[in-house]
Amino acid sequence: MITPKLLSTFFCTVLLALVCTGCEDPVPTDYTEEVMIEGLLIVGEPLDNVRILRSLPVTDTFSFERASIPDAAISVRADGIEVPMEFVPDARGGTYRAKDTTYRVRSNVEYSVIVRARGAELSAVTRTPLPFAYTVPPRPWLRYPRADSLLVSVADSLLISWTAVQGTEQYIISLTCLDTLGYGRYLDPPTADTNTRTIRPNPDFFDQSGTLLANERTTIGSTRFTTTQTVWGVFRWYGRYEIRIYAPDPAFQDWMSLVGSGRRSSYDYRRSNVRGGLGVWGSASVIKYQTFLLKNDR
Amino acid sequence: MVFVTFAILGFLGSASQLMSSSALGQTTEARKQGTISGFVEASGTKEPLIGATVSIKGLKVGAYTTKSGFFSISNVPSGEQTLVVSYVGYQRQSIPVTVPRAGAVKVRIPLIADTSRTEEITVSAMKDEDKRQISVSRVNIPIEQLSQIRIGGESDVFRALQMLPGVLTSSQISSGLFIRGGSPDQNLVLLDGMTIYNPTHLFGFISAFNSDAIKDVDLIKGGFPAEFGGRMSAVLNITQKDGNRDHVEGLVGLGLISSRASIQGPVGNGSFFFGGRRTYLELVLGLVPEDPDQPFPSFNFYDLNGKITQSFGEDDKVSISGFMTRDNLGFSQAGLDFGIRIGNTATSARWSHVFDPTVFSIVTISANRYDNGFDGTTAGRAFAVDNSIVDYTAKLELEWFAGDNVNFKGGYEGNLYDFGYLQSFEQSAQNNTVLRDTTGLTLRDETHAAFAQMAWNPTDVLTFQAGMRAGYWTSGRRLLFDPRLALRYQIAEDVALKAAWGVYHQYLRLASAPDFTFFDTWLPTDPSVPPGRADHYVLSMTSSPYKGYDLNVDVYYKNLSNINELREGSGRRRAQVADVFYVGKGYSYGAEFFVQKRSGRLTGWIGYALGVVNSQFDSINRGDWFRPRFDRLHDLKVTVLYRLSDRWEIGSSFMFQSGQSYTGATSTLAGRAPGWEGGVVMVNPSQRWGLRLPNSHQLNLNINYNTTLFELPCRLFLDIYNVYSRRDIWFRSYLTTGGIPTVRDVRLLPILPTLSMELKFR
Repeated sequence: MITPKLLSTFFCTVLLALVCTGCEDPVPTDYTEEVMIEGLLIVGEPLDNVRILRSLPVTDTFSFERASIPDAAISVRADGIEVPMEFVPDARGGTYRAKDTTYRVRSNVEYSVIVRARGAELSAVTRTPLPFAYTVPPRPWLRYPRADSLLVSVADSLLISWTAVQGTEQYIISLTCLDTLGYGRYLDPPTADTNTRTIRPNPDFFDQSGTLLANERTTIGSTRFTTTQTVWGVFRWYGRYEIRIYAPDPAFQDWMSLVGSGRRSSYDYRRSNVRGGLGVWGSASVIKYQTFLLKNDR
Repeated sequence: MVFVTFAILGFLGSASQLMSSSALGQTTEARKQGTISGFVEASGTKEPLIGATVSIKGLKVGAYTTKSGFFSISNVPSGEQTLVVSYVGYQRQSIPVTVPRAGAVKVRIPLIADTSRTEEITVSAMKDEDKRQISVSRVNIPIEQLSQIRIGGESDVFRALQMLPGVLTSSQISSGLFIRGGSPDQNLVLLDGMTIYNPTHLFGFISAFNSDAIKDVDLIKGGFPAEFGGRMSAVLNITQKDGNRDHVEGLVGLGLISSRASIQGPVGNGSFFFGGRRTYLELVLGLVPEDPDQPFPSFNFYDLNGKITQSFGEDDKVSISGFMTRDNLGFSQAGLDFGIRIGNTATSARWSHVFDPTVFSIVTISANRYDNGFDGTTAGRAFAVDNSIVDYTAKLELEWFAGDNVNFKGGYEGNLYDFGYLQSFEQSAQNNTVLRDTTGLTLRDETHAAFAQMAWNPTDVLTFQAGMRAGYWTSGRRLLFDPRLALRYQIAEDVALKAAWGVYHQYLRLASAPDFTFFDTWLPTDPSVPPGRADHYVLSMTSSPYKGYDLNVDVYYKNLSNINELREGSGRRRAQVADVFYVGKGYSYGAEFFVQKRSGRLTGWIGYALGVVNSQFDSINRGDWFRPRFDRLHDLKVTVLYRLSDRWEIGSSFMFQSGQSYTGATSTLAGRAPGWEGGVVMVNPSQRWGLRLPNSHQLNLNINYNTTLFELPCRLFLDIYNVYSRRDIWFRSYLTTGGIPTVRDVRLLPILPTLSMELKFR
């Protein structure tokens, strides 16, 4: 005879058994090594600076030297034609480049890569974007706004425009300070003035002090438009600059969304076109121009 | 669609023929029987009572009152009968009724509140009626219990629901309900028949429902019948108070987070209720000295509830309900200004009509708008996002109490949706020109659904319910059928087994962050994504093993198809729904144990749930199966309220849950942009949601003191949230701007004592 007490006793027993036997998933904390390729092909430039690395334990300080894999088998093909590669050691663990150092990356070509290293096989493909050009290049001389402004004046001297590239949704703007020490010697007439960092208002949303990017001479931004008034705050130093605009392929753009801000903390494999490992195999066409940023801190 | 409607009406017709001719075997004997119908209401306020039990003394016939307080009992032998009416918290009433031969009698039954509330209420007729109720996985929260579960002095519907087993949230301060593996957007939240799209304030911290305005809260955790549709997981059906039809009364409550006021009373041949809440955090912060470099954000929310009900004779009642919420957050400092706005505006008109003592109808017409927006300026750039969904709904429900052991319900629901999304980005340029990039999407779509369901008691111990819901989705051009089945078998005097099976399709999808509800975006199912579907299998046992204690055990399995996870932004434009979501599959299973004591000095419940959820998306975790964030194996909840005297009450709630899953790291790597000499260090994440935070537990304490102030009833509340100040981890992240990644834990609130009061006037 089934009675409520009998049933409740039965269910309480089942409940107790479930509580006792139910256990949590084991927590996977072990280090898992993965292989990474970083290849950013720039149209018209040498096929070089390709890094093949392994990921390191979370508890370590990351070091390119320790992460570098110098003995990887790498095969690059341009529209199906092999481009022989070689390893070039350097102080940061070394990179791979085309053996023919006169080789230049061509536009609208499909570059594929296969990497075999430490038991992994990575592969990826990129089609290089079409070339484009400045319609309004940067002025040879730019004047930095006064430090007490918000650096967002519309009446500034930094206006750049360029032709659109079909299929490109975002353009990457790169500002590289070519000389962080010299300043006055580029003026006419020359002076003994040395270069300094720019003075920024507080708060400064472009400030990356305290990060690994603090001393990088190149700062990166992006825009959807083919013309931009680059915000002055992205300049870290005064003096000589090269301004580059990249028209990236989707893989390059995704990679920049991972590393470009310098503040993203987590890799996302969905933003990678590499199969079998980590990283990027992307390409971009580029336009570049040199200019000089004058101090205006009075 | 017309075909489907007629098909379902045809099903109703043929089923009724079946019941009336053979299965029920109505004969000339039936002509000697009559029907008793009517309404049950509270005597003091004349507020309709939902779920009251009405039975005939000495007979095994009876009914529960509907959401309108209506009941109908057919096949009652003619002559003198005694109606027995009971409802928890009210005195049982016995009313003599003369049932005419082959006729009908209407009654309106007032129940007197039982202020002592200490007696155990046992009504044998109630138990007989209980044996007919299927109610699989349904939990009704008593309004008294609801007011005891508070945070910051604020009683809250969702806080109370979170104390039920199997109802999870993404954190202790989140109100999004994850029920049996379903996400918050898979729950149908209804307020007086209106669908509410964002039922929370404070970005999910508390619910948008003012508990003073609520009369009834019904949660169906799975296996819900065909009258509900459009969602895959659960139904939360909330009914607002009609208002006091007898006299004007009001309430003022002062709390830490907000204050509230309400007033209700008679008007015309009916009643009204108006209530509202508002925060005053910005007023408090205004008194605190502010550092211009680190200004306080300004924040406030408010909500308004209103309802006017009018009766037109004995058979018609019209009510107009309104509901409005608004959250505003603003922040301003040199170089950065932004504002966030979130709100619901909803109104509905309901007409309930008694065609004859056995046929009852409700027509609901509602309009509901949920919108959120974000705008800001920084460094010469201006950006704005405006997002909204407007839902116009027409719903007809027809209920026919065809006999003592059979009733039918059918209806139609049509929804017209307007989706709007506007994103603009502006950038100042040379010569005072402005560059603009604007994405504007507007979409109008409609859905139609017809449903029919039948409940039949072939014997005193067996109840069977079958239903079918057919839905047509215009933009997806899909006609979908959702069959539902449920049964109940009384295997012993106090033990019943129940089972339910059903197919549930979902039309709307929600793009939302897991912890906040800043930018919830509802999207339709367009041709680019397949319709979401869940198959529910529920087996349940209910019992009353000891006097005054109810035991419920549910075992469930849910198969989930075409569920979605938000596709993380890559900055690329999104042209169709498939660009917003990853679509995958999953399943969940578990067991829930629930012991409840609803009457006496000591009331409360103990609930335990053991649940497993698994998901698989081709684009997540490289296609591997994984346990999503809201998967928690163990979930224990205890809620107790003890009435020490007429003045003092003490209450407590305790919860223990397995730690929630999070995405950790298995290694680090570094990436570079062109021109960089160094690199940006990133952690290489573990499997998504692959790691577990420590277990979570919390104890809350409430002390209530009933007194008078200026001869008005007054209640003082002392609430201690998180008594032993265990600060669970809200989320864990990695900081990689230095050389070695460091783990950052953002923790939840510490102990939070609050004092609040409530004053009633009349």
